[in-house]
Amino acid sequence: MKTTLLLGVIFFAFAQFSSAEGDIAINDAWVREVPPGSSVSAIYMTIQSNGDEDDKLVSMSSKAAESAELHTSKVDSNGVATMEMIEVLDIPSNNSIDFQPGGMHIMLIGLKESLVGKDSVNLKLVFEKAGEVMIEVPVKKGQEGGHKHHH
Amino acid sequence: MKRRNLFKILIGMLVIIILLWGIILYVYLDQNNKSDYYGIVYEREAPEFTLTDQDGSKVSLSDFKDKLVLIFFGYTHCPDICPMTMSVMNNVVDQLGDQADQVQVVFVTVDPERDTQEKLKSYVPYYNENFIGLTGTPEEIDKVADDYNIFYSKEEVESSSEYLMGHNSSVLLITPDGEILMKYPQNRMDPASIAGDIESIL
Ligand SMILES: [Cu+2]
Repeated sequence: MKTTLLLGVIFFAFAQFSSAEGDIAINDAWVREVPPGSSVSAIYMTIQSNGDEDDKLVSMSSKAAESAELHTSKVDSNGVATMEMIEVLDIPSNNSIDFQPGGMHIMLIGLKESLVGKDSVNLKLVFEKAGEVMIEVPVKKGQEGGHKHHH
Repeated sequence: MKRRNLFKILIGMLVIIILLWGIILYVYLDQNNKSDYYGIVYEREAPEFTLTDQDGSKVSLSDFKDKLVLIFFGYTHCPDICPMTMSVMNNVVDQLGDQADQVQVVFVTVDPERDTQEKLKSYVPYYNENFIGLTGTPEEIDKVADDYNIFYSKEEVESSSEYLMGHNSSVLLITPDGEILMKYPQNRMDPASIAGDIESIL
């Protein structure tokens, strides 16, 4: 009984730091604070799949923006940066996928209000098997100080 | 006996030739590598331009005669690469301390349709109040981008946003005497290293 309680407390403590919804956990999510008047921003995070089954991220939305899309930034050999939209993202079993500056991100389009001074935005991710995952994504200033690209 | 001497002389000459060759090669390679810079050495004259800043004033490159200019072409409806780059620039300036007032960061929009003077006024100073944002007519922007070899294009994508832009996202470093000395592509965006380059130039 005591052990169960202890496990429960530990589980609860961990639940504060990551949002685990069945086999999918979303870690280290943050949304970039952008200048007032900006209509777009980007959410970064790590999607951790703990399941034995492959899954797919099929759609997403946020109350903070008119729409949310999965994008990836690319820079070609001539230095030209573009963004591509990803319709469906495969989430292989027992794997983690990094969304990070300069790479994959969830683009918020049509921000309803400025992110400056806001604590967080809500985000709903819809997975084919794991279903809906709701998280609160903290607003942070971009700290581009020597982050490493993993290409 | 004589043959032996000739052989020795030949060997001696061969050794000298190889040595000389080595020295020449060393000097040549050393010159090619003279840059210990972090950025990619570009060395081209920086073309003059005149555009409009976030306060509505006309701004020309020649206004920054005594300054080192970091110039970057982007657009404000860009959620990822452009804010990253602006943050990096702010970080670079931070690391320069007292030397920061010898550096001018300039953001030029490649999306003049949406990036009006007012739009730049809320965007650029957010990153650093000393940064300058420039816009102009589509023709003016086209000319400057072309002069600076900056490719950009409107990307009609299946996105909810009106449109996205593809654009060259390298930062160019212009020395106080008007030379584009270096380029910093997105994979060379370490603020401390860029600041190091600037310190060794100034
Ligand atoms: Cu995007």
